Amino acid sequence: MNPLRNVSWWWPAVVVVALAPWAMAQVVDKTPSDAPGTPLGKEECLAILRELSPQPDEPWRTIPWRISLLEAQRDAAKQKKLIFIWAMDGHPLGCT
Amino acid sequence: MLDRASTLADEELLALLESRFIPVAIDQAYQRRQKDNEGEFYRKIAGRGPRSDFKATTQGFYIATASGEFVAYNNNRGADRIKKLMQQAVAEHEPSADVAPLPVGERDKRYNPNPPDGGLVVRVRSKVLGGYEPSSDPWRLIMQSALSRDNLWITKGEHEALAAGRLLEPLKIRLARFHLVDSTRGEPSMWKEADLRQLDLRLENGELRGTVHLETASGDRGYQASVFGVIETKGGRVTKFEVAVKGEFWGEGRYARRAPKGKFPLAVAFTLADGKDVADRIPPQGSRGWLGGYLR
Repeated sequence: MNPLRNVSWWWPAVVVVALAPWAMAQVVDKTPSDAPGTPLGKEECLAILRELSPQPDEPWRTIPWRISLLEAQRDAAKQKKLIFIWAMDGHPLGCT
Repeated sequence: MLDRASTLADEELLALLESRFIPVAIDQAYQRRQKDNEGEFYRKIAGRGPRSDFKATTQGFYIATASGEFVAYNNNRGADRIKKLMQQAVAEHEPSADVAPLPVGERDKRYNPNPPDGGLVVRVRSKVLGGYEPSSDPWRLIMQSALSRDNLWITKGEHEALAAGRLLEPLKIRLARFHLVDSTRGEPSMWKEADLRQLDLRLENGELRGTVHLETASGDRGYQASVFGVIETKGGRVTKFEVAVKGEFWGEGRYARRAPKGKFPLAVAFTLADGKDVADRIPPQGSRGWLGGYLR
């Protein structure tokens, strides 16, 4: 007897079983608002604002940065100190 | 981005910086071009360093005296290297002579933009929420978890309209074109007007809702996201501007390589600046070189 004779009834079941882990991953990996067009709500908005808040104690933020070289020059002259210039493409305290 | 989490995360370096130096942070794209005392002082210092062609970037860490004498330069992100440079500078160039403070003089207006009078400054942060391949490279890990910073400027007219419950079209466009970008790994590529495929933002009863679809003509970069926010007003002024955007981003900019492959979640947050952070005074990245174009 040919075992493939009744192939038409069992092959779709094999495909479903084989693809199940992948399909589950698609559902689990995405929070609802990751999908384009899914509206954001108030709670999620607050959660994003919290997650994207800089930590106030980040070390570089504890330094009294000047943002004007001439202001730094004046202070350096007055305090008899050297000037340390952090010069970037884009502002180092902003978008770099 | 890297500097904040690497060089400037070293406690010993920061202690040295605070005790022996006057620290200043600048976007050298302004100072190397501006025709005023600030620009001249920068070029006097940087012109003695290895990057003296002012038509190209001069970025890096510089050490100089108050009289404008170049002392040292390095563009390395390793804290130990910069610390050594600083220690050497202090040992060899202890300033002792009196130096007169330089006058500010007339500023080059092209490179000294101020936030609009009567307008608003809004802090903008963005973050990639996932999608990166695992890595053990410490530099990549810094980039992958980075929180970007920028400012959104709102004009007086737009502020007044917001306070009256209306979101004007130029503000909608500016918010999308210059601030719904992935700036977490470096300078972002902004959107062209033609990239605004869909911009549906509505302000009703103090709540901002909507969706955006931004995509380049070639489709190599895009962002499809949802928007929600709360805007409160009192006495004709905006007192709260808290807006979140979240969706799928794809692609990368010329100066912000190594984005996650395919589509990845990106969030952007907007909160009203209170002026307490020195960074609140920094012009938006999108206004660089064409404030008029940014604010139109």
